[in-house]
Amino acid sequence: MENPDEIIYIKRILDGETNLYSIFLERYSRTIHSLIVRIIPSKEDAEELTQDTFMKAFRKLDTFKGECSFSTWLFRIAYNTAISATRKKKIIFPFIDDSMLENVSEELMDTVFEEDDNEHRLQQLEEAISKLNVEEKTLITLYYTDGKPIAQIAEMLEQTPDNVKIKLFRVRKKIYVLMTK
Amino acid sequence: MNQDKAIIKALKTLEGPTLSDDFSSGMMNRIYLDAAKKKRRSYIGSLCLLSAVSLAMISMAAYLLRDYLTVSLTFHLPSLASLFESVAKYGFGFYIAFLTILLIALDYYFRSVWQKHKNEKFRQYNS
Repeated sequence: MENPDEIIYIKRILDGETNLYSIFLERYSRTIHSLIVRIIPSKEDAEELTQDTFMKAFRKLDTFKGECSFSTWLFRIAYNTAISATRKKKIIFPFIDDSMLENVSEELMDTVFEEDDNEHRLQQLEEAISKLNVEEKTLITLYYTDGKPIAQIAEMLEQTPDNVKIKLFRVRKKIYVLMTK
Repeated sequence: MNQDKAIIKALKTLEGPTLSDDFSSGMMNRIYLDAAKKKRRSYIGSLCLLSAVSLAMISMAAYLLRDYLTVSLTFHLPSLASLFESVAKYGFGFYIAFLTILLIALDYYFRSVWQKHKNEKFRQYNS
């Protein structure tokens, strides 16, 4: 557990000290919002989904057993909220055939992704990232922007670390294919 | 993979609008409303449960009085009268009543000691 005081706060909130929930809001609202804003297609809905995440967390607080850190649990709720919001809007993401991903050269991909001063490529990259689905965007956001370790990402998305690694490699390839399409 | 500087830079530029300044206060208002609703719901729930249990007990008592006790009451009345003969026979009843009151008092005392200890522990932890 990252913050052992959190389990005490949760117990106190459940005992009726509702005002202590503001501690969690101060601690995590910006991080949760910045994750949601990156993974959902409509940026305007991000604040509403952040609110929904915190409301759901408050209502389910009694189910938090402390098996993972509170932040991991909260991120999981945020991810599921974003997924269901995207499903409701019935957004279709581009499908890329596996054979296309297999043909991507690792070396070429490394060279493209290491260069960060080519404006045209960066624009292509942004467009490619915006075409990824919610799970893929979550993976790269947590890994690259938030710098979360693979084990924690796996815990958040309820997957195995090996599965997360494989998916990250696939997302890289997909970004490359979308860039060069 | 961590060296994918271009992906990191592109993700940074993808940031959207920031969270409004009154987000926390607005959210806390919603939380307070929800907590009050939850409390009210649980109060109504326990009130319903209590009413149902009371109703069941009253029905059971009515059923017993009508179908069973009315018959046996007249049958047992002569023997009931004999109970008044000796006050000493109530001794056991008084003993049980005393024990019950003592146990309730001890329960109340230990609960208050435990609550005081718990509050003290929280205060120490937070200071």
